[in-house]
Amino acid sequence: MLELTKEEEKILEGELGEGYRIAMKLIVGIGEAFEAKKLIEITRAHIAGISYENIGEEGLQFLKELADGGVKVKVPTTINPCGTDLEQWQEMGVREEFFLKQKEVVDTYSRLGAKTSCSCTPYVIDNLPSPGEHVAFAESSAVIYVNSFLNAYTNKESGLSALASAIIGKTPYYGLQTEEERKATCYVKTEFEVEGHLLYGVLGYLVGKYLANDVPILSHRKPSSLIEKKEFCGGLSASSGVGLVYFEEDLKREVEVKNRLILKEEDLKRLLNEFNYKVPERIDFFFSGCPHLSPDDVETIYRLLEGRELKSGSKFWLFASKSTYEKEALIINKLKKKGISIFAGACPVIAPLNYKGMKIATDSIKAAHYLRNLKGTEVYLMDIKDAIKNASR
Amino acid sequence: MKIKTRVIHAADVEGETLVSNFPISFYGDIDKRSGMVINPKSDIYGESLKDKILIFPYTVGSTVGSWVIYALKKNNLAPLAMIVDKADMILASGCIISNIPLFDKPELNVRSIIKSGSRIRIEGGYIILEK
Repeated sequence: MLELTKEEEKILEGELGEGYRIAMKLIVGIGEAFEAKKLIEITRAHIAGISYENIGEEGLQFLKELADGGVKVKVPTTINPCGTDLEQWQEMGVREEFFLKQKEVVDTYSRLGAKTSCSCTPYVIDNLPSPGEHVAFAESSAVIYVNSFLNAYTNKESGLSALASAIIGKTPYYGLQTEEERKATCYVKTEFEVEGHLLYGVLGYLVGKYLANDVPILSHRKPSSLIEKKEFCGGLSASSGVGLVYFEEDLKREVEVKNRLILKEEDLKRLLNEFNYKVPERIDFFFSGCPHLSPDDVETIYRLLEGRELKSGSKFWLFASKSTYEKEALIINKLKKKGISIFAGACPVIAPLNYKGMKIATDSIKAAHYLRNLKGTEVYLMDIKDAIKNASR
Repeated sequence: MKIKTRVIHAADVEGETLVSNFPISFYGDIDKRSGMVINPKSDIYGESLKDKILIFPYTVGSTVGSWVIYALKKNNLAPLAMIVDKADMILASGCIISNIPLFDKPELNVRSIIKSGSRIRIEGGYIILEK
C-alpha cells in the first residue's frame, strides 16, 4: 500500500491546481502499479518523447494546458532530442509545418521550466547526476549510463512519468531506486574482447539480446572513454530492457548470481554480419552522433578530417546537443566549410524523413537498429575512419 | 459472479467487452485516428476499441504508447475501461492522463472466462458478470 504524506494527499486533491493534481495522480498510479510503499524526492529529471511525430497534436495540447495552468518543473530538468534542428530545419529537409509544430513543443517545455538543450546525453553537459543522487530519467541509454557509470539511481522512466516527477520533484520508491532491486541477477562471460566505440555499441546490443530486465555482471573490460560508454549504453538499450550493468573488474568481492550466459566470438561475428559491418562500394549518407556527440567527439572528427574535404555528392551528417553545438561553434563552422552537416538537438531516427532506397551507414548500432526497424532502410555499420576515407578526399 | 481486481485508476463502468490474448503495443498496433486494431497478427485485428471494456494480458513496445491512448481519448475513440493481467508504466500513464479506468491482477483468469461481446459491469474494483 502506497503511503502518502499530508502534503502529497493535498496535491492529489487538487490544492495546487489541475496540472499538479494530474502529475501527482500519475506518480501515485505508477507507484501503485509497481507496489511502491512511498514516494522519494528526486534531484533531477530528464524527459523523453519530444518529437511532434510521436506525441502528436493531442500530446502538444496536453503540454500546453499544463504550461497555461502555470505548472513549472521543481528540479533541474532537461529534454530529449526532437525531430528537427530548430534552426537548420530546411537543411535537414523537414517540412515547415512540422518544424513549426516541433518548435511549439520545445517552447512549451521551456515555459514549463525545462532546459531545452534537446540531448539524449544530458549527463555530458547539462544535467549530470552525482553519485548517490536519486533522479527520474527517461531515454533508456541515459538510464543505463546514470545507473552504471555514475552510480546514481533512476528507473527507466517514460516521457510522461519523468515529466510528472519533474513537476512534483518526487518519484515512487521501487525498482532501480532501491538497493534490493539493484542486486546483480546474472553473469555474462564474453570469450572475446572488443575495442573502439562502434564495437562497444555492438557488445551492448549483443548482451541485451539475451537479457530481459536483468541486472547483469559483465566479464568484459569496462569501456573507458566517454564515447565507448555512450555507444555501449545505446546498443544495450536498443536490444533490451536492462537499466543497470556491473563490470566484473569493479566488484570488490564475488557476487552470487542464479544465471550465467556465455557469449562467443561467433555470436559477435553473426551480429556484425546481420548489421552489414563492411565497407560498401557506395553510401548515400553517413550518420554519426547516436547517442549525441560530445565536444570531444566533435574535435576528434575534426582532427580525422584535417586536410580533407567532402567529395561532392557525399552526405555526412553529425548530431549533437545544442550545448555541444554552442561550445564547439568554431570547429563546427570549420567542419561545415568542408561540406559536413552538423545538427543541434535533433535525432536522425525520429526525424520525419524518408530514407527509402538510400544506402545509409552509421557508426552506431542503436541508430542502425531503429533506422532499419522504423524506417525500413538498408543500413551498414561502418567505422567513422572508413566513412571519412569513403566520403572525403 | 464477482471477480476482484486491483484498481489503478478507479471508476464504475458497464459495457461490452473486447478480449485479446495478445500483448498490445499501442504505438504500432492501434490507429489513433480510427481507434482500430491495425496489427494483422493480433487476434482482434480490425476491431474498434471505442467504448469497449478492453481485456488483454499487458502492454509492450514504445512508451509513446501512452500518448496514443491519450489521442484515442481526445478523438472519442478510447476504450471505456481496460483490464489487464499486469499494468505497466505505459498503460498506467496513458490511462491516468486520459481518465480511462484501469484494473489489473484479476483474481481469476478473466481472459478464459469472459468472451468478446459480453456485457459486464465493474463496481468498486469488482468485475460483475450477469447471469
